[in-house]
Amino acid sequence: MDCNEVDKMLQLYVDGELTTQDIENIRQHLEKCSPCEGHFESEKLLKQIVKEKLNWQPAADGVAEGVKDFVLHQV
Amino acid sequence: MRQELTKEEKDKIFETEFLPHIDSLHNFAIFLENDDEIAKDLLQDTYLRAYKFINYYEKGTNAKAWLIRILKNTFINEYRRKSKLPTKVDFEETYQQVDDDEDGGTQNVDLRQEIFKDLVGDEITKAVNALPVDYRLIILLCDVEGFKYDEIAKIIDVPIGTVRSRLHRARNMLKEQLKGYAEKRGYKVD
Repeated sequence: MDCNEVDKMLQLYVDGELTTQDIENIRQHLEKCSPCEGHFESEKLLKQIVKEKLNWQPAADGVAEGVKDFVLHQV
Repeated sequence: MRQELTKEEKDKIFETEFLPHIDSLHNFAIFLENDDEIAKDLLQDTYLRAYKFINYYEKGTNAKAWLIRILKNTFINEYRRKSKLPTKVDFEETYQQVDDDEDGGTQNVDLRQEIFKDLVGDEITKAVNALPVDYRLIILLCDVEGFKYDEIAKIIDVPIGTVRSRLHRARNMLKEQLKGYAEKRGYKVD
C-alpha cells in the first residue's frame, strides 16, 4: 500500500470503517512512513477535539418535562 | 411495519425509549437552528411527530437514530417552507452538487501543534456552527454521537458514498476554520 492509497483510506481508518485486512495494511504503512503517520495523527486529533470540546450540554432542568407536557396535551 | 398500540403502550415507549435521548436531540436542535427558542420549538415538534408516528417505531431498535431522523426531516421541511420565498435557495440542491464532486485531497493542516490542543469549547463550537448545515449535521452524527456510516446514511437519507464525501469535505472546512483561529492568535500554521 503506497502513500496515495493510504491517504484515500485514512478517513475510513480513523472512523473505524475498514476491514481487518485494510486496517492491518494501513497500520504497517504508518509504522514506517512518518508523513502519513503525522497525517493520521492530525485526522485523529480533529475527531477527538470535536468530541471532547464541543459545547454539547445536557438539556436544562425542565426541558424534558416541558416536552412531555407539550406532547401529551397535543395527542 | 405498522403496529397497533394502546395509549398506555404508546406512553410507555415515549417515556422509556424516546425521552431518555432528549439531551442529544436538544443539542442537535440548537446546533441546527443556532437559536435557543427556535430550537425548543423544533425539539417539541420532533417529539410530537415521534409520538404521532409511534406505530411505525420498532420497539427496542435504535430510538436515538429514529428521533434524529425525524428532527432532521422536521428541520428541513420547515427550512423548505421558508425557502419558498424567492430570495432563498434550497440548500439540499446547492450542496448536492458539491457532494457529487470528486473528494479532492485532504486539507493538510498539522493539528498536532499545541495551539490546536489549546482551542477552547467556544472556538470549536463556533467553527462547527460556521459549517453549512448539512456538513454540521454529519460532523455531529459521526464525531460527537459516534454513528457508523451506514447508520448516518439511513438518518439523512443519502448513499454511504455521500456520507463519506460530505464528511471529508466537512472536516476540510473545519480544519480551515481552526487554522483561521490559530492564525488570529498569532500562530503560523503550515
